[in-house]
Amino acid sequence: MYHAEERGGEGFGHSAGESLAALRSRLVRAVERLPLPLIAFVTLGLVVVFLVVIVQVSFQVQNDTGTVYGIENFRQLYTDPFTAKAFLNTAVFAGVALVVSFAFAIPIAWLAERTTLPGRGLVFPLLTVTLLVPSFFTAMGWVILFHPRIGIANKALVHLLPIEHSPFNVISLVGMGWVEGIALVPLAFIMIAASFRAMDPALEESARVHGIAFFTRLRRITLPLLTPGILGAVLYVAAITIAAFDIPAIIGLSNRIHTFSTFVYTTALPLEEVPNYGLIGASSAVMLLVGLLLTWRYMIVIGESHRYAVVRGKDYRANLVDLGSWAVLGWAIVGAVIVFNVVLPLLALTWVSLIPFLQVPSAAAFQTLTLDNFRAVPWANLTVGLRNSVILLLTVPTLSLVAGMAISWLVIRSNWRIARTLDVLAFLPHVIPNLIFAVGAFLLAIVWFPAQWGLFERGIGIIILVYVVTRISFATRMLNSGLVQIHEELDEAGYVAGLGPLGVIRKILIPLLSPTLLYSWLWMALLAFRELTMAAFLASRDNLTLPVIIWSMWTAGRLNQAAATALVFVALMTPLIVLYYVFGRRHIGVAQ
Amino acid sequence: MIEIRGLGKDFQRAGESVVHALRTVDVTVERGEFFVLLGPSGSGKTTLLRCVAGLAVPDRGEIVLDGVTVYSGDKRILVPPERRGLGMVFQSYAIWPHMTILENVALPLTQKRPRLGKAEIRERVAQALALVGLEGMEGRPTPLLSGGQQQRVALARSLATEPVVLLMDEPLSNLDARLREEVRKEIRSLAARLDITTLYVTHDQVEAMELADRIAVMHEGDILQQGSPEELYCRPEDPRVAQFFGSTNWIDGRMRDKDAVETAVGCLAVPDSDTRAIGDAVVVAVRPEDVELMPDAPGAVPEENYFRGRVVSNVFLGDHRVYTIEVGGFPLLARTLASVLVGGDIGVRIPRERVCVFRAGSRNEIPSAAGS
Repeated sequence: MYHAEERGGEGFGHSAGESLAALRSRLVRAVERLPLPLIAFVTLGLVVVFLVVIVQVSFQVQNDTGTVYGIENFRQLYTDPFTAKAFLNTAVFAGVALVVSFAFAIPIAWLAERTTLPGRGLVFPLLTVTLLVPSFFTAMGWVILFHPRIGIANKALVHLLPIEHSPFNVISLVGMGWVEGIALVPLAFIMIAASFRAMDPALEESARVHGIAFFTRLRRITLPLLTPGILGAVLYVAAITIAAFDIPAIIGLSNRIHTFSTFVYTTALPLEEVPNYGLIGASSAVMLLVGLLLTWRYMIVIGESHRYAVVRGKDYRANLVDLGSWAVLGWAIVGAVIVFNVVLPLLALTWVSLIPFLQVPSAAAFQTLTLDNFRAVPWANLTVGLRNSVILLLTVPTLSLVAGMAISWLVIRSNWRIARTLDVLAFLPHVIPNLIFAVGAFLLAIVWFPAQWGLFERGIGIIILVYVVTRISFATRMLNSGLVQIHEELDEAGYVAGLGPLGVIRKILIPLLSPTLLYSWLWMALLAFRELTMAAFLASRDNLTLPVIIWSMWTAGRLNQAAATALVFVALMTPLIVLYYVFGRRHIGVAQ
Repeated sequence: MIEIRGLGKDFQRAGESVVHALRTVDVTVERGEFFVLLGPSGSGKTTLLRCVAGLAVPDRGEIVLDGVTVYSGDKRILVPPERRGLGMVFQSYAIWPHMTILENVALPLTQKRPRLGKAEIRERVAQALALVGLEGMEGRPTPLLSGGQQQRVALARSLATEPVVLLMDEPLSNLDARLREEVRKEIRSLAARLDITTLYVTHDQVEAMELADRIAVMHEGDILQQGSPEELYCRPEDPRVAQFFGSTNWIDGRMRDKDAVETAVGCLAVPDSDTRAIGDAVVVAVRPEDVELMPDAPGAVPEENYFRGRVVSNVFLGDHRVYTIEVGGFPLLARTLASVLVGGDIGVRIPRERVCVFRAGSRNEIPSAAGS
């Protein structure tokens, strides 16, 4: 390992008499070493700038003389009943979502990692693919099925059962929390399964040898050992739910049930009045603080979990619990998550896209089947959306990997003193909700560059920028672990062979990392394609993406058209998901 | 060819005191010489090699390769490794697993300026592979190669550019014992044939003695002694050097005359020395193979350094035996081919010129990790 700064040779100025050729070669060398720090600084600089602008704006107060700084926004946030309600709603919503997601995720993780569940190898890829289905898609399906008034499942149940009223109401905090929780099961599962895998099965086996019964073992050994892992996952998922936008935006927004994210959205883009940017800044700053507190706890928990780490042999296999006929129940639980997330919404949306108005499937309803909804889709509009989404799909993962490579290389392969700081900065987007960065970019464009507003409104550039910034944590986590696994002598052999740092990266590291790169690229491409939250915040006339178009149809009440478009969207995604599944199979499980 | 002057490097780990990886190291390796850096782990030998390669950056001093200053703390010169024109064999071999043998060996050649033509590169790869006995294996993918083959590819890759200096970092430590011996011989003959200047790092003194024209024994960032294998073995200047090469009888004593030491074994005649005063506490080192066993002769006129003792134990090691002989209550190890009766009385003789005398207390500085 060597010092990037020292290799750069910046500190080594020749004394007098240096020849021109030597000077030139030094210049070439410096230029060769410049790109990596440059890319890293620009990317991580953006992370910082987005957060700084939020804090700055949160203290900006407009009065007669212009802009002054004060805590007026926070006072307003604190006293305004509407705001208080939104924050309270967020707490309930997040609480329900956490309970639901972990109630499913913990048993499924145990099933997949510690039992003889037939085909348990499929659980991981199935749930990972489920994770890719956009939450707005799932939420739309649930509204169509379980809207208290028009939900077709509700209506069918009232029709079939001796009940007066709709049994389920998804248009409520609990309903939204349920859908959010179901949507987050795959993520919680991936994290908990990782903890299971990191746990030494010998600890459970020794309890068994010493005559401790199954449930006691579970209660006294397995769960306590998993606690740090589960707690870490809870904190991480909590940070996601409190800022979740998709589901509250689909279910709650048009029904005036506001959570933090939709509150910020309506404050930023109000229909009547002038937007109060200070209030957006203040509420985002509060969320940022909450997010950082959760992160801090998360770091402590994760740090402590090392105490539980036990080194184990390579070929050690956990002693699996034989489920016997209980396996059916096991698959029922896994199946429920997939049905709730994918199958039900898909069926509901397919049905709705084929009928002119919402109605329960019946002989009469089948008479009205039509492709009119698909014909009514504004294809011209959609083409622009598709173009934008494809641009994002291609540029975001590519740029994220370029930036991630520069940062990870500096973090893992140089002794640079600030490398640790770079790593912490690159980790921030992992725990600070994406929404915060979108707000940061939005405020940056409005408050810092009002003159360039037109450029912002027309361009997709700012969306790319925000996506890349939020993906940098994933890219660097993947590349960090990839680089750590490459023996450093392979690099060093490259240097001795005459390659510079860029040459080593190009000829040695990138080829060796190519499976990781391909897998990460596909994953980020899919996420960029399906992303609604950030695109919605930064939406303007010319940079609409497909998810934003679907969402705006939905909020405009054109449910059937929105359903038809959402189906087209998922159909477009499917080949990519298949590609991801094929190439990423070996890597699935690392994603989190 | 390699001149290292006053080289120093410190490591500062967070919350810990400064570790002197290299204190003030001076080494000169002549053209065509096979020079071995020998020492236990943590002695700084690998750090020194990496400084020469440019993979580690020293804090002070100077390194000159073939007349070109590649590092100078005072003149603020630092040539990066890729511009030093070296060949290097790594401990892990560092064969790029995504490339074939051809691509591995060719990559350093493609970096040469002025550029070499495709045909010439192929030609030189073939030559390099022929040197290490891998003719015609250009197209083989590397991950399936055995350890010995990877070792050869690494060697071919480092030799292909005909570097001024070849660096080797414990290249044999990952091979099994038999293969190690075989490759050791090949490296030796290859180095001699190509007349290449080699700097070689190892912790194995047998390897060092077999390969080296000269050896530098390192300990905690310092060079204790440098010289030919024979010099180091027979005339160690430091007890730690003696300790490093084979086992040794360490006998405490006190200078009785300038060429005699009073010890538990008896009064031992030693080589003449002006550096120690009569009465100084010393420690005497005698190699087990230098302890000559003789018939017990109770009445005979004692020869110089002749002592009587009793054989207390015997270890059979195949090609030789090691006896423990109690002389004046001191358990003296003797290595011999002969077979004597355990429990019997015996005479031993220690040739004066084979005795090394060191300052007392200096033995305590010997790390237990050092070979014995």
